[in-house]
Amino acid sequence: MTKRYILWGGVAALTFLFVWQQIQSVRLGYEVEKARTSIEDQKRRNAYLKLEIERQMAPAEISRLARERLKMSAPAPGAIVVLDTGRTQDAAAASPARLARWPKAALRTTRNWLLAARPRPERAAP
Amino acid sequence: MNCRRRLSWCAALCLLPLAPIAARLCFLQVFATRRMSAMAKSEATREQIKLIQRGRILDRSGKVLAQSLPSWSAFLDPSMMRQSKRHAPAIAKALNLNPAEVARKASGRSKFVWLKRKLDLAEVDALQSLKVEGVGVVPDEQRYYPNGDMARPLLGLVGLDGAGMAGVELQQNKELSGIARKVPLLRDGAGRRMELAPHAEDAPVPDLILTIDRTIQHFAEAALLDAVQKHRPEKATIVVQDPRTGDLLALASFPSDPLKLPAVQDAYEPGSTFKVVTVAAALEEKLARVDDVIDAENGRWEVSPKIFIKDHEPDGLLALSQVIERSSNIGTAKVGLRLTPEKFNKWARAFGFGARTVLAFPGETAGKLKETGKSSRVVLANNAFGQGLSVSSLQLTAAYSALANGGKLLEPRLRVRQGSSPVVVRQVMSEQTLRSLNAILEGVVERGTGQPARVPGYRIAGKTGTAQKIDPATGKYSKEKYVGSFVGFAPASDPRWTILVTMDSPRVGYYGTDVAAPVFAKLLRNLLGVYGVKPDQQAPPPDGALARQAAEADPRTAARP
Repeated sequence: MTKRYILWGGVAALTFLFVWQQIQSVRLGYEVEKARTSIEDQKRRNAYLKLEIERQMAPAEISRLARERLKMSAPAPGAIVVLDTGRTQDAAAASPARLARWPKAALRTTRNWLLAARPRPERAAP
Repeated sequence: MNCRRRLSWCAALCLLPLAPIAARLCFLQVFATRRMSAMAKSEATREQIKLIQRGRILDRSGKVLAQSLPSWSAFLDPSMMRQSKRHAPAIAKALNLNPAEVARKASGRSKFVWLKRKLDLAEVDALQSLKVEGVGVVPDEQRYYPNGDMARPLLGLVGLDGAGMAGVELQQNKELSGIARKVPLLRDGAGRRMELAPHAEDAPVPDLILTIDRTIQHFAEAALLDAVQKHRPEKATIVVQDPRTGDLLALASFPSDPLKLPAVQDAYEPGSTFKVVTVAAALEEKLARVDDVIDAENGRWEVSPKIFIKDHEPDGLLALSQVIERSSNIGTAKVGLRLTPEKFNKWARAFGFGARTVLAFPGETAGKLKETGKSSRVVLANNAFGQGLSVSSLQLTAAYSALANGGKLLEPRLRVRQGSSPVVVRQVMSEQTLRSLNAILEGVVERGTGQPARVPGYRIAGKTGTAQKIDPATGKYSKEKYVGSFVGFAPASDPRWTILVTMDSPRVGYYGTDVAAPVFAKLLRNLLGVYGVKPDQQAPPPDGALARQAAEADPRTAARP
């Protein structure tokens, strides 16, 4: 009699385990799907933000900002003096990395210049 | 009958009505299992379209020129949409549409109507928050050009269905095209979805890397725009090529039309910029020498009875180099007449004229050379100074690049391919002829018609051109419409760029000297500065320019009158 109860109990436990595992599997499947959707959504938003960065870094936009906001102007003819650094011109000047840095460097220099030029509060006379 | 038996009968009687149900269940589970499974599957599963985006187009340093991003298109099923009048204003507000238009679409008889294509994320969020029955969104993609109109005539455009319609988008459509894939989804009663067969993420479509340099393209377009405002031409182009590799670095056009790339697709009579080909042919054929003296006939010469060739300025005896420096039509015609039409055509073709390049760009023109059989003395004389034949800007730039790189005509390249080296089509001319021609072209900028193209401190070689245009109404050369151009390379000591500027039918000025050469100088100054090219000799600073700039830059003096 006891053996039979144990047997039935075991069968019932296994059945419950199977059902529970199935339910968990479906639940986790939905959670995985939700996470996947969320990842895709974040990737999509990230792609839009990267596009916005590209828009802001467009030469025409940088040129406009430099001209209108920072009051910069193109150098006068002959104002650029190229120094001989001993490096080959191709390697030094035409590398994509240098070109990519150029707008940032121009903005950084301008910002520093503007900060330096900003009028400072005068100290009260003793 | 004992009690146990009675109970069994009672139980049997109670269970008897369940027997048909059991039999039916048995039938459905055992005998109709396939059909029932298929029905259940069709009820619970859906298919979702997943798009692999169209490939990006990048410039030579990896900056994005064109990119596709996920988008959505909203549709409407009027038969499912109840109370359409009530929802129309909210839908219209979410999608920035006219409420009357939404109401009209919602009251239609069709079962499927596009509400709006290419929605952005905010519009999708707004629409989905409404939860209106009968309105849905499907994934789509939108092509973006983050640099605005930059290089749009070259890049072209894509249609609503995402296929290339013009420019590089059309030329490389096969490689750029994205893929739409159907993914099976399990959908439960609550509307929750789950991918049935999760798979590894699809590899994106490979990027297309162009030889275009975004910085140079920007400078070219800015210089072109300034010139357009000043001279108001009908059309204008700038082509920048690296003469060492054949790479096209910039192709700027006005007007900026994504459906048309004039530098490649339009042919025009080049005028004086073509004189170099005539002189090169005569020098190579040993029919002329650099120190030959030619009579320029005081600006008017009867090449054939009652047919005159005129110069813009009257000149007498000129050395061959002066013929080019002063851009004498008469002098060049006389040199050209020393050649036969066959020899002239042979040399024109050797420079790449009269044939399409390997670019195979959609709508690329081959230009037109006169057939040798139809060529007369007058035609040959006209062809010698670049009239009566047509070329594309791309061909002319490539021909001058050959002068810049040691006489090698290179295949123009628009696409960066790993490990590919420049392809030499042919060695066009000898070293000796090349040296003579380059000296002449430097003379054009130093002393001749190309002086406005000068950049102090740098050696520049180039040639101006002013070509009359045919008036379509009369079929004769117009006295009002010209193509002013300048083509050259710099620094002449070690050429980095070949630049061609053309201004078609300018309304203010028309000589290449006035309308094109200054644009060349402006663009070149920017390139020399950005790329840090060392001058050939130290140029004196312009009068007061440095001092003025320094004073303006100094905040202590900037505010002073």
